[in-house]
Order: sequence, then structure tokens, then C-alpha cells
Amino acid sequence: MVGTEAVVTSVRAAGAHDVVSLTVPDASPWVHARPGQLVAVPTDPATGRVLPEVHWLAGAHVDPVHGASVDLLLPVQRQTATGERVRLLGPLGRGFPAPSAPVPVLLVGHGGGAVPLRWLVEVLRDRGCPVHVLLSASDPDLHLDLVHLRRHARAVLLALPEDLPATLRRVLDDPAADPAVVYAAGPVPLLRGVAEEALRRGLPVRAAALDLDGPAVVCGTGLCGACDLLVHDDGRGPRQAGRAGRVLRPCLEGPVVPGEWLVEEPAR
Amino acid sequence: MSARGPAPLPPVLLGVGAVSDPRALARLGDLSGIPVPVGPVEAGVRRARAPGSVVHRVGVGGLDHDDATAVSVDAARELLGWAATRGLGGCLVVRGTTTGDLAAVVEQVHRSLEGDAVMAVEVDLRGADDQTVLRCMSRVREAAPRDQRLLARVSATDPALVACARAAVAGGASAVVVSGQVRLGPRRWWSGPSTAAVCLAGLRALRVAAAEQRWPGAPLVAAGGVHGPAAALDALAEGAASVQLGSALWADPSVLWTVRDAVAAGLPRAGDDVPPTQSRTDLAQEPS
Repeated sequence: MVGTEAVVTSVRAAGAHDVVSLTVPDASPWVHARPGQLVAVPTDPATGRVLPEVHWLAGAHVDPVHGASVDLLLPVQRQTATGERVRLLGPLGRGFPAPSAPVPVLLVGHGGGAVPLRWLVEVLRDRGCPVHVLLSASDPDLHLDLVHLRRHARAVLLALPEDLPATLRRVLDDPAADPAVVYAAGPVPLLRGVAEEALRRGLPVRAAALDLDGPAVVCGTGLCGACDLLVHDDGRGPRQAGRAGRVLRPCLEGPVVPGEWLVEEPAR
Repeated sequence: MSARGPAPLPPVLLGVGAVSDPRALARLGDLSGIPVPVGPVEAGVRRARAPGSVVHRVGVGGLDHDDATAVSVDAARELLGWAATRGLGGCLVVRGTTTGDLAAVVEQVHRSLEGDAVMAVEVDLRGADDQTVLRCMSRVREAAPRDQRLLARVSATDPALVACARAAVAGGASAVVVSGQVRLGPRRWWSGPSTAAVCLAGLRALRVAAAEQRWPGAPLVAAGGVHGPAAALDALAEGAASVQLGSALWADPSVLWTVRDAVAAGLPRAGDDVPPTQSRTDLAQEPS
């Protein structure tokens, strides 16, 4: 895989983020891109920076007439400008799988870590899935591009981080929502909580187990292993009592993983 | 064995601390001709997989990080097996507190089925004095097959750099890896493009010492601050025969292939009569 030279074509403010659209010359890597995948923006050592920027892919659209474009949600502080050339490595990792049938789904996210959900809600809506979104953030500005989410989701619920567990239980038990699948993105402790609640109700969970806002992500490509995570699946078939967990490298083996891996003893 | 070693060094090597799982690199491009870093392996360690890197702080031009954590011989064998099935070779990195530990690891790996995939053995001797370097390399030389390429990793900041390089070659090293990493404490290092000057200074010191016949000379590997083709060519100009990439791959993994092509183009061709620790520019500048 070689990097793609992309050009910023539009920058739109959305709270603490900028929704940045880039055109890419070669559409082929992006045809099968999915929500939950990553892109890395390599750095030039001459600038004194030694680590790349790692971002969630917030959209990829391939059009035979207009070419391919990629959306990213970048922090406002980055001051991205139209016309800027950005080298992209990606799409990296394993994204969210869409359900095979149009079933109701619940998306749960926290702050800027919920970026993959922004595109996922669009993909699920196109497949005919009724989507409910539950977001938490400590600051209203950190809620993600709500206009976009409200356009595609049946309901968008906002909660403070401390209220999220109770709100999640209420939504899971709400017959009006009645989710059949739960997708989650955000800090790992939140994902573990979401997975526990959903698995207790027998719902499948898929979680993007990488917190790009946290200190753990260094390279985004799976080389450094700073994002290594202990999961409760030893990769030897159905889980049995007494088996030890293993170390998962989300940048390499994920970032989207089954919720069962994140909880100690899934209730079934 | 000649001073150049049993076979030419690959133009690019990979730092074991920066590539804790080579499978991540393999999905980004072709690794043929590039030894996959395996380890660091220490006798008595039972860790089945290299844990992730620990970065304490990121600064201008570098980062403060822990040394790579050692893994078991079984973990090294598994990775070598993975490399062998893809037609790749590995560079086994060994560490140890005693010469017996180092030799035991090398013997165990070479006796295993995966031993044939070992293209080179790198012995981490940063911080060791010259007598220790001599004992360690001698013991590893005995344990390794005769045609095995042995690399001794020494620190460019070591005041006894030339003595350590001399001891490494006397002990059987076929190349010397000049590490530009700056020691910040026990098992803690500063790496990044800002260490290029340290590495280049080490290369220069060894090149001058070889010209003055203070050590017999051996191919040098520049390991520190190589974050692009320009830095790699600077290292070649200072006498390096190949370069080792580390944290540069975190910033941009594709630099591996651009540096490999640049180094391959910048190296003297086979048959050129250039001493291993002297560059062509120096030959032109030095008085006869």
C-alpha cells in the first residue's frame, strides 16, 4: 500500500470538529472502505513531528463521474484549509460489518471517539435499518455533527457521561427502539460497559476498540503496539471457563471487534 | 571470514523496538530482501508475544520510550515460521545478562525447524564494556552456524565506541550497528530524527578510527535518525553500508520502501574496491 495524495476540497465547521472532504486520485482503495476504518496522515520529520496523525474515516464516496472523495472529522485546532494537500495511508483495519437484514440498530458513542458512527448511521439507513443513536459528551461542542446524525437516524439521544449507563439501559429496554444489533465507538471502558449491557440482553455487539483521543495510539498502523488491549478471547474457538485472555492489537486485528471480546464473562 | 562478512548486508534493516509485529508492516508492502525483526529474545523469558511499545513523551524531533520488552524463544520461532512461509528471513535480536544466556538463545533457535529462516543475529551490546562485548560475541559466534551473519549493536554515545567495535569484530561480528539512541535512564531511550547527528558522529568516529587502523573495520549499520532517503544517504556518505529504520516507520511506514530504493541506488556496486568503513567522497578528499 502506498500513500494517496489527497486534496482538501471543502471544510465545514461542526462544533469542535471540521468536516473535511478530500478528493483522492485513485478510487480503487476506497471502493470497499467501511465505517470503523482508519487513515494515517504521515508526518515530515523536518517539521520536528515524529508521529503521524491518525483519524477515523468519516465517509468515502466513489462516483464514476465525479471521482472518489473521502471525509474526515478533524479537530478545529488543526486549521485545515481548502486546497491543502494531505497524504493519506489507508483505509486501514477492519470496519463495522453491516447486518445482513434491515433490523433496528443502536449506535452508542462518546465525544470525538464516535466519529465512525457518523458514517455508519448513513450506511445503515441506506440498508433500511432504523437507527437509534446514543451519544455522550462532557461538553455540548464535543457532540458529533448532530445535524448530519439527525438527518439519518430515527432518534438521537444525548447524555452526560455519568448518565450514559442509565440511558443505555432505558434505550435497550425500550420497545419503541427494540434494537437487534448494537454498535459502539469510544473509550474502551465505555465499550466494555455497553458490551456487558447488550450481551446480557442477548444482543450482538460490534465495537471499535480504539480510542484515538486517548494517549495510547502512536502509529495507527499496528507497528508500535501502544494500543494493545487485553481481551477475553484466546482465539481457540468457543470460549470456555478457565481459559486465559490474549492481547489484541486493535490497529492490526481490529479496530472493530466482537463485544464478547471486551467483557470478562458474557451473559448469554 | 572477510571483513565484509559472509554476504552483503541488506540495504535496510528494521529496528526491533519499532516493529513489534512485522505482520502489520507486511500488509503495507513487499518485505522481500528485508529481514523481519524477531525479538528481542532473552533466555528464561516466557512472554509469548512482543508487547506494545511504551512511549512516555513525544517531543520535538523525537520521543522518550522504554526499551523493547523481551520475548521467549518460542515466540521468536513462531515469528520466524511466519516469515519462512512467506519466503522472508528474520533478524534475530538477542539480549542477555550473561554470555551463556545469549548463546543458549541462539543455539535453541538454530536447532529448531525455523532456524533456517534466520538471516542475521543482532546482539544488543549497548552499554557493555569492550571486554564484555568480546566475550559475548565470541560465545555467540561459537553458538551460531559458521556462515551466520552476526551484528553487534553498540551505542554511538559510548566513549569507548571504537574499543567496543574492535572487540565486536574480534569476537566474530560481521557488522556493527551504530545506535544513535540516547539513553535517558535504565531501559529508557530517546529516539527519532533528532538522533541523526549522534549516529553520524558515531559513524564518523569509526570511519576515522578504521583509517588510523585502531580497529580492523567492518560494515557499519546506521541506526538512529534515519527518517528519509536524505538521512539514509547522509549515513552512507559517513561510511554506513546499510541503515536501520525504527521510529521513522511509526511516522510513515512507506519510508521503508523509499529508503530501500535510495540506499540500493547509493551503495557502491559489487566489485567496487571501497573499504567498508570509507565512503567514496572520503576517498576523493583524503590526501594520499
